[in-house]
Amino acid sequence: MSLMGRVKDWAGVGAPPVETHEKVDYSDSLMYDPRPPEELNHMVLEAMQRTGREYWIVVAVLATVALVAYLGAWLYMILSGTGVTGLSRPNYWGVFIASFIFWIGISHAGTFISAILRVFKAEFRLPITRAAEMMTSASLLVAASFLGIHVGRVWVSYWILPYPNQRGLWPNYHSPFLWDEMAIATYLVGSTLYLYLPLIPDLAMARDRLKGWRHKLYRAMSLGWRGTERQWHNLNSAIRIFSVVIIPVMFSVHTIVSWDLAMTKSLGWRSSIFAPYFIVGAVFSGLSAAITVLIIARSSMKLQYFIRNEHLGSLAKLVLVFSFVWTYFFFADFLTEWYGGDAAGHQILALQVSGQMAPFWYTMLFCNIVVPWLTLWNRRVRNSPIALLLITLAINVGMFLERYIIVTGFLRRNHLPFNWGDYSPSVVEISIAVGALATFLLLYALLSRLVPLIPVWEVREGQLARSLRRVGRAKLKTMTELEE
Amino acid sequence: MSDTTIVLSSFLEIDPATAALDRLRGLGILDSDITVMSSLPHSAEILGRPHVKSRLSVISLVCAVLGVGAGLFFTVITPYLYIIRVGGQAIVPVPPTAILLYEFIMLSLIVGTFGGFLVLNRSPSEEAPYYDPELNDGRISLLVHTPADKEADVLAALEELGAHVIQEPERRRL
Repeated sequence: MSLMGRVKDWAGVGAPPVETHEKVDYSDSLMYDPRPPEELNHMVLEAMQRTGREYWIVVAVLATVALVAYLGAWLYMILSGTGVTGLSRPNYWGVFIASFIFWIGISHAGTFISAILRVFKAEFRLPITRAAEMMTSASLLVAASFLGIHVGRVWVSYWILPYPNQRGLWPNYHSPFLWDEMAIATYLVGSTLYLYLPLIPDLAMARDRLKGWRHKLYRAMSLGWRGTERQWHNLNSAIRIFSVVIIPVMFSVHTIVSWDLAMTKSLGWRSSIFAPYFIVGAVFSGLSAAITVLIIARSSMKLQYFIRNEHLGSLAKLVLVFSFVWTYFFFADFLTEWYGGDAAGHQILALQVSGQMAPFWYTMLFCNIVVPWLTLWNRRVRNSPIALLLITLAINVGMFLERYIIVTGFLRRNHLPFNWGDYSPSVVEISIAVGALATFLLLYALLSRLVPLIPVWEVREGQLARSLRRVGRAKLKTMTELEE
Repeated sequence: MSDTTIVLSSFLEIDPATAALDRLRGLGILDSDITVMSSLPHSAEILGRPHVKSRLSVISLVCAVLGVGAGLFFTVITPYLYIIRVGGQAIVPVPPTAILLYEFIMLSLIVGTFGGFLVLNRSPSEEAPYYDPELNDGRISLLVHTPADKEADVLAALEELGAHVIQEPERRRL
């Protein structure tokens, strides 16, 4: 018997159904519910091409909002100057930077789900990695745009590039903003290539089955993939290297974003805990956003076979864990400022606890702590897509408010009372922030119809490695290590 | 090479495919003359084939070292060409330099790994290869370069094990 035959025999792959007296239902587990490869391919390609009237209406609405609220308002600001924002001394950072941090945070979902869970061989990640990785690329593009929006004179952005010029300008490597540019560029390139690499075999599958413009597109994108041993070996090597490399890059991005604030002398920002606090918040909001997107994609693209309650439930458990960790960091940060006894620092806390920021602050605590803690411990809630949708949306409202409070709430008070000032975002700022959300959703909606949202070959590989095995009267889940 | 024939065959299951590999070796076909194609990454151990050696990790390492060089150039050398004095800090302060050096290394490693993947796979390939599009439905394909005088034996061995043989396969544009 060949090795594969022995592996199959041990794992029970292809073996006749086992009769037992115990009725154990494993139908909720994708890995133990295999279907023929052609059926899996068909399901994924059909979902990708499903663009009915409702889809185009949604795309049209999102495109209109993105065009008017995001690009239109940005163009208006370019023509009118940053005076149309609510920014003024001492509040030089507002909704734009809060949005930037928020979207960078959302981008952490893809790397966390795909790379970290890949390294730890978490089974539930298999069908959801690509959906999360696509979120990373789309949200990073939106986040990066906020850097351009925030600086105002976006047309001179190229000044940050290091190239000899007659003006004698050179990037200031001492500045955290330049670290930021570098980290985001690295993360954007890395996460996009990390999305693309495992996509190649599925693009080749789409190439072999589809005709017309899609065939041409996938032929170009699949790079002549034939599935030879050499190609698979190099692909797996590349994915392994990327999985390990992209994790510290992910950590560096939000660390450096937090240092944008922590390297200043502003009250409340100058904290050594900011880097891990920001990373935990980023993963917390990113995982929540991933659940939201997965629920919507599953429903709209009819991907119930691939994306099951087990996957959403597993992510929900992680969200609960990260809610605990986020609360820990939040309390540690709050306590340090409160216990320090600095009068101006107390003014900042007073703004949050009982001042003008209080509605945001209490909403944040409710969304980030009360909602997940009271709900996600319950298995029935974790198995309810509607409940998870509402909970994860609430968490991201809470996380946006957290970014807003950290950026705009802390700048209002400082050690110079004559330099205190309040901040209200203008219509232009709110418009751009809302438009950015529409832009993200639009990018995602278009991407989901252009590339296979489910990594078919990874799901098939996972199903090949898993089976039910009879031990006594029980059927047990077993897994075979297929890798070298 | 004019007396070499190319045979493309595909199997529904992996077991007859691995059995066919044994038979082909028995007929004197070298492993280097056989290419296995599949829609899943089967290991060399599963296929009973020689391990594929990849230099990708070496390429990645070299690119990381190049990243160190690029990083040092930008963060250590160029600041002396365009001096920017920031209060209390040296012209080349260690902590910011370390941060940027790290990012340069990572960016170079990432781009280099992807570039290495393309080079090692010779992709995007303009050459029209032999290929079975049914592969994605779970089939395993064997592409065999066989001497013309052994073609009949090879075909018989493959068909005996249930292979669907595509005789005189044409190169197809993917």
